[in-house]
Amino acid sequence: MIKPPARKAPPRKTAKGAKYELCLYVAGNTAKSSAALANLKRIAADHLAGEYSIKVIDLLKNPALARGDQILAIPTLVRRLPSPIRKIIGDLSDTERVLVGLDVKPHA
Amino acid sequence: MARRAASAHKPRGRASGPAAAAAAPQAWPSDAEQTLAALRSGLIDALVIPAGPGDHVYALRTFDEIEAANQKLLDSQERLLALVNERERLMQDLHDGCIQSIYAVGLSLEECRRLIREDPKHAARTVADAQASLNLVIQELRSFISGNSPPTAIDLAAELERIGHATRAHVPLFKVEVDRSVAAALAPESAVQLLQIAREGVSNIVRHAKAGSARISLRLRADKVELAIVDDGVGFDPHAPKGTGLGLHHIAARVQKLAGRLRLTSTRMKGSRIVVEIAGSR
Repeated sequence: MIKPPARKAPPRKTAKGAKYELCLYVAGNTAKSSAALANLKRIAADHLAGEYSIKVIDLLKNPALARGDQILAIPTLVRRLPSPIRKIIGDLSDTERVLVGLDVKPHA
Repeated sequence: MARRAASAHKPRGRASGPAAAAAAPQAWPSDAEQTLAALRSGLIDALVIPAGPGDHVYALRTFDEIEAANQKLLDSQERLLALVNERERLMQDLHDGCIQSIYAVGLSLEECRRLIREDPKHAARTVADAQASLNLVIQELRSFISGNSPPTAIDLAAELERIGHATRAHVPLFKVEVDRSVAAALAPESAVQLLQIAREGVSNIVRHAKAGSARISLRLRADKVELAIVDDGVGFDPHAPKGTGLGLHHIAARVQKLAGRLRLTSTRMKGSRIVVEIAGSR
């Protein structure tokens, strides 16, 4: 018997109603951290249709926060929602890769 | 820092084979894979490194900091290596130089016990030689203490003669055959190394060989300077491992420093030959 393709559950929205809950770990205003934030804002504005929230965590101010999401490198974007948690490490300059990482676009 | 394209950022296939990879969903790269790729591509600023045992304290390390730390480590490694090499050199020089010289003085003084009765004038000369040798040893030790290299301008021919003279009480037929012009033409460092090799070789003969006759020769042979130390004693195992007390590894190390060639041959009860060949010109 051929099973029908599994239907993907609709993404859960965050408490604030955002579909994408994103957390960007940076280290002050370094070049890559600043670029990552700018790239993230641009990508979110262009592709996430307002259904997102962005939280920026500066590990220079509180390095211990790296523990929670087990951050290895700076900058790192953590997609907390939709689940599962997904990390994208780097300055987010490759838009296609970020969209794949966020599951906005399917894997090539 | 070299940056390469972030090829590892591309999602990987879970299954193997092109068909399977095309059909199966692509896995997102692990944190470690992404970090490595981003590191290579220059897409990250810093690594987050646990700074304490409890994983409660984290430290950010930028690449400049990591490179500086690596450089510091390399510098420390080089300094340590230099210290180890220097220690090895001091051990060799003390073992082959001062210790052998003092040993030779001891042999001379032992001979004096007999000479005092039989040939007092000869005994007096031997004591004077021993005193001169001890002064040289003191000079060498002072050089070690002050950190300077041992004196390098030596009269190799005279030193080899002195070794032979001091040894005759234990090896009655000890010959020294030195081509003085060859000895004089050697670079100071080569002369010092050959002298230490000769001291070590002769010391082995006196202590272990039970030889009736022996010879040190220094000559030019086929454009090479050849130092040979030969005896007719009980022989030794030329392949004996390091640490067996014959100091053969010291000899080998010195020959290596001179970019020379070492030949050790020995037959049980038929003596041994240590032959060192080095380039002839300064």
